[in-house]
Amino acid sequence: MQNIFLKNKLINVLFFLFIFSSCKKVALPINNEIPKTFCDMFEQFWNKMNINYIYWDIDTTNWNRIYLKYKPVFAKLDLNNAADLKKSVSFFKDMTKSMVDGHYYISFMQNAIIDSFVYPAYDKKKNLYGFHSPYAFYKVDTGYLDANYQLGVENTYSYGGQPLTVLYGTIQHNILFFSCNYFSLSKAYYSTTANKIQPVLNSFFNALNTANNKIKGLIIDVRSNYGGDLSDLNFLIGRLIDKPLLFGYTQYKIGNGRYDYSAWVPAYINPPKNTKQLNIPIIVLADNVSASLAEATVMAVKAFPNSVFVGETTFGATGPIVSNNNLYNDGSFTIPDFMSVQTSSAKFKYIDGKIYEGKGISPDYYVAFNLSALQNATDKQLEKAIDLLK
Amino acid sequence: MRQIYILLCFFIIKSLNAQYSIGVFSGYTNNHLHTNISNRLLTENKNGNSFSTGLIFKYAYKNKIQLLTELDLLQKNYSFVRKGIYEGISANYRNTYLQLPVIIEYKLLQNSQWELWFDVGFFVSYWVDRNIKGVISNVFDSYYAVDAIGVVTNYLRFTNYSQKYSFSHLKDNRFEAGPLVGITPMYQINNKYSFFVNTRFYLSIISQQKNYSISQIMQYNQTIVISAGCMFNFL
Repeated sequence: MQNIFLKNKLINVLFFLFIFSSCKKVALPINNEIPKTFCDMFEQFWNKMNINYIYWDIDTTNWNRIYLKYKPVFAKLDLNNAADLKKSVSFFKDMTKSMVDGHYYISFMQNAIIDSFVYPAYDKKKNLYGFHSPYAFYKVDTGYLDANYQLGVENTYSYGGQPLTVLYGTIQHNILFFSCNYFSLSKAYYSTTANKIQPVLNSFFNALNTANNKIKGLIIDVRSNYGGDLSDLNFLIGRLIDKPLLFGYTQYKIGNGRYDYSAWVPAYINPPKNTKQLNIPIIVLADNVSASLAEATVMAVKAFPNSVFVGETTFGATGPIVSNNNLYNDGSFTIPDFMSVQTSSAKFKYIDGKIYEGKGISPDYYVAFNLSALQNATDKQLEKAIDLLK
Repeated sequence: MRQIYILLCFFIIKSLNAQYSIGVFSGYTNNHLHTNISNRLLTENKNGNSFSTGLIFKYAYKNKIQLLTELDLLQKNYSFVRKGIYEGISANYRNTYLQLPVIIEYKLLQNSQWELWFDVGFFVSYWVDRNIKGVISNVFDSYYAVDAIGVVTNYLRFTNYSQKYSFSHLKDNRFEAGPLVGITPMYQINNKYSFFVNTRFYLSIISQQKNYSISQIMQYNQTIVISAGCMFNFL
């Protein structure tokens, strides 16, 4: 046999050509090295976005065109020059300005630009008519609550410099009201260190368990709530149900190609043990800065049969973010010593089959944010919710 | 494609005047997706096993040289499987192809009724169907647990999915082609019938994904097919 193969040189050549072709490595355009030039940095950024970003199928950004336009631009910049570093921030803003991901956020590590950031969703929204800053509604809303309301303000759990603030009470003794300014409820509730959140949540949960025919409804207020811990969705909304509640679908990246997606898989709220189905009308209040888990709360409440959403169209950051980027090998990433990019880990679509990323969820009853009314202790959005429950 | 049709026509015309044979075969496929997923942490690119079946049309050109073509239905499967702390997460790709190889067989050995042939040629394939079955850690199907010191941990449940895949004109390259090599031991039962077992290696030089992106990470199927079949010779 060996002689035959030796005699047939053509066969040998073909065989080795074959082996060579099959072993040739496929190039991977990314690495985790500290970039030495702006050129390296741009290549890493562009390629990591190309692989990690979850919304390529619905995003209108022409990412190939961005490469061709900005590669020569970044090639002219010097990574050790503070003026060039500052210029690069404006280029990143321009490159990402039409990104649909509401969570998309770039922060920088270099001293010259450490205070700079890129937040395309906010840049798009801030100039829209009616867009407003977060507002501490609880200061006005306590005026609508019966005297025995409970307010918990806890600095141990703060976000963006604001302490976690939860408010529970009844309105006219027959409407339950609950609000929180962000989601770190389960962490605070189960903490072995006593805090001001626990008694408020205990009272609220007791009220849910004992809700009777006299209770006309529940108002959950997530206005000016930026989101927070994913576990709070089951912790809070799970207490209103006794079996899993389907409220949408998620989709993930499962390969390195831009469009390598998993199937859509169902998204559930799962109840903790020993809960019961709440059979009273529920109204959720949200505004145009309600984002992320606050929007998931809105969509979960809207999945209840007897529910209404009052307020403004939400921010439009509905894709979840997990803290461990390696779980899905997609979403957020870093470029060592230069930048950190936050982006959604999965796409979310609501049970109506629509993706609200970048658009926000529209209310059933639109009531505009009214600062002057609030300054006069009138919350028009809450009043609408109360009217609907009367 | 035009060249393949010309070759096919050539075989058919020639076979009217010379020795030709037809046969059937079925066998086993082992496919490797030649790509680079080294950036995907704790992820293994695993070969997929499946089946192959088809018809063979053979023309004996000379004592030592045969020309043949086939019509094959085969699967080129692969999977991405997470390891370590992510064990249980996977994506299994089942790809069905209709394949047309054109092969020159060169006789290396003959011993009584036994013959050993070396196969070389090229193939074109059309991607007929795809199904993706997977398991994903579902961010919105979770439960939380609290430990003795009050720390809340959110656990994600696994969700199984099976996706009847809709091909994308933007992404999917439904035609692939490339060279092949193989070895075929054949046993001549009599003048009319023979039995064979062959091993072939198909190397696609066209990526499964179109070149829609700058710095596209290409994906090439590399398939080993081991099959057994029988031939009927027309004299």
